[in-house]
Amino acid sequence: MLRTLLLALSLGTLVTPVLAREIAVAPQVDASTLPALGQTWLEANPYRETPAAAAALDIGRSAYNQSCARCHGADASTHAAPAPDLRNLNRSCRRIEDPALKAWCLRDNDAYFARSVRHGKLIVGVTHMPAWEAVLAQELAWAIQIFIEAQAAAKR
Amino acid sequence: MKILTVLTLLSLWMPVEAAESEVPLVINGCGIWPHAQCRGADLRHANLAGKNLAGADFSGAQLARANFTGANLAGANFDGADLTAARLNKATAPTATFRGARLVGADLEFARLFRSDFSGADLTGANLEAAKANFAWFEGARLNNANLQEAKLFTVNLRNADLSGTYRRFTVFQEADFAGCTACPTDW
Repeated sequence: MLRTLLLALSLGTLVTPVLAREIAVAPQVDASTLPALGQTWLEANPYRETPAAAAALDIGRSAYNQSCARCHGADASTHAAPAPDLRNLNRSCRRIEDPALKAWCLRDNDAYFARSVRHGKLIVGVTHMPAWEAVLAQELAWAIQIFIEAQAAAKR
Repeated sequence: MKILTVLTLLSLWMPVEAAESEVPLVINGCGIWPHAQCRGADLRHANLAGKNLAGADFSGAQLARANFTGANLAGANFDGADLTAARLNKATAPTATFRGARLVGADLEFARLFRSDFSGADLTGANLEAAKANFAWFEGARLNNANLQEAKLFTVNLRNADLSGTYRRFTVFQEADFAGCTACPTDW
């Protein structure tokens, strides 16, 4: 028994460095209540300030906590997680008063968010965040952003 | 004295967001804010000193003689951009990418370039004096006649780079990768 336990522990230490690399795993969330967006990724969030935003918020919360919280913190409610606090993503846009400029800034921010989610963060050969394009439908990605923005608004 | 007290109370009462509201710059169809999407934009000679452009996309942009002094360029994308004679001194640009960019005669003095990627970039005659570029990649980059005085290049990737004619007084090359490099130091 002790021998088996020791063997398992030593095998565990061998395997741990391999598992340390984050792998994109699709969240188990029913997104059928969200308007379908197709395969081609949009440049801007189609759910913001629409009737679908309420459903996106709940779906986004579940998807976020399954796929993002491990690095970015549970419920997007902390700045002490290993990865950046995503509530700060649109901070500069929130400060803009002019409605047209603010909308433009948010579109730019959406494009940055979508690119980061789709392609991940590979920095000088080190994967800091895996690419989610192959496993995460864009409906879920935009829903996650709606949830993050709601958390950012609640923080203020 | 009363006026001062009233003003102090007013400043405390104002919501933080309202107090920080700002009117951002827009230059040639490019909004100057973090995560700006300025691919291929013409920002030659633009004064962007001290601006927050973290995560901005300037890939393929024309940025000759643009001034990014002290700007926040963390994670920004300058791939394929023309930064000829641009000023990036004291800029903060960790994890920014300059792959295949033209930085001939650019000023990067005291810039913070940790883990930035200059693979295939042309830094001929650039000034990197006292720049901090730990873990940065210069794979296949041209640094001919560049000023590297007091540059901190800990653990940099200089594979197949060309350092001919560089000025290297007190440059730190600790644990740098010199494989295939032309005119790299041989005493580190």
